[in-house]
Amino acid sequence: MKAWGSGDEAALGRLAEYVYPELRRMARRYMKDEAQGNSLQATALVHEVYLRLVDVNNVEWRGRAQFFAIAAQMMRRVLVDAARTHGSRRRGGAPAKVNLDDSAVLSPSPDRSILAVDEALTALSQLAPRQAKVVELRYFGGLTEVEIVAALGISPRTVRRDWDLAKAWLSRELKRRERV
Amino acid sequence: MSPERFRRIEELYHAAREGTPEERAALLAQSDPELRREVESLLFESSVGEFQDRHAIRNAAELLEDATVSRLQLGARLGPDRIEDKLGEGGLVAGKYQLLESLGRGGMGIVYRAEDIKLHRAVALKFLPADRVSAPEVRERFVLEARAAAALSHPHICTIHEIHDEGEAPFIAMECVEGQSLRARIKDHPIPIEQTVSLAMQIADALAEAHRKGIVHRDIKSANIVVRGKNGRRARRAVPQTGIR
Repeated sequence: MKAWGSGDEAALGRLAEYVYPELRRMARRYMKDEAQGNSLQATALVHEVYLRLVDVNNVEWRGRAQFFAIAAQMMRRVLVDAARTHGSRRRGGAPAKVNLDDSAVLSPSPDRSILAVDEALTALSQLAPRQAKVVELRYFGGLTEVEIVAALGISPRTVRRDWDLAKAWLSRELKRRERV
Repeated sequence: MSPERFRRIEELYHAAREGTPEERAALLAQSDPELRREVESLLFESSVGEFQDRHAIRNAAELLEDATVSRLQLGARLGPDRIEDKLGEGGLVAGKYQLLESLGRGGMGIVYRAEDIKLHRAVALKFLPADRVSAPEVRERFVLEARAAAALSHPHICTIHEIHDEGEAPFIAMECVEGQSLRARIKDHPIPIEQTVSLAMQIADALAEAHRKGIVHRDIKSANIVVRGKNGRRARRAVPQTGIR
């Protein structure tokens, strides 16, 4: 993390190798220990990993934002894998209503909405990669507007507009899927 | 769809969303029909989302406002900035509706029981929340909602008497259904299976009528169903919150 902070871009890749297993391990442990029905904001987990891996006092703002950008991507993978492992795909009717303004939730019970959001987001990224990225950072990583600005190097206004449009787009897609 | 197509949608969406209602109408009118449909459905989605977002955040504020409502019931003088203040002396609305009590509120409206002092009958008045009144698109939806519900005539659908869409406190006057919400009714005690089936059939029947007229309710939930009387013999949709497609 420090190496990357001082300009070593390859260190970013090495960092990712630590983050993913750590996230997954913690997610598994959490889901095994917690009683059914409890849930945890996925972003809380991302923050925990951050605190474990990083010397918090020694990271500049941009480094922090990029860490969370990577963690968000991985958190998405962890959540999707967990939902798939639960064998919850397309079982038991329509997915629960998704409120994209609350970040993704890690739940011991199967969560179909994660898979639905993931699929819709993948489809969106084909059309609008930047907008899809903003959603990923915010929904799966819990990044704030300021952090997204730093991570993607776009203006606050663009972040707001992207989020607004992507949210409308995804809500519409999710409703369409629900009807199928 | 191609990324280029998406960019055209994106451009028009933001221009329409950030423009005034007149600019938006002009922009949409100029664009090709398919593009227009896309953008309109997204704008619609975005406005629905706003209502949902607001709903969650405003709970605390609504609790405060409910205190006003209880003051109203006691007949006390009201503080400023409330819908009730804009209604004129003595809570008389449009010269003929005497406000009596609050029946409930949601993101899209505040419902009062009132008496029509000319016709001597009970009515329910649904107002827009005070902070939504100034938004033209909100008022437009309000009128559409009333129009959609007014197109329906069914024993299990609340009858619309009139809409008053001018001034600072637009409202819909409708039949006042005596009873309690299905939500309140099933909250503490389960209801017998026969009654459940009967209510479900009445609700389905009312919805079928709406669907025949091309109207989709879009927010059917127990809080929006009023069970008439103590025995709940007849179900009614009391707060029609309709969407049109």
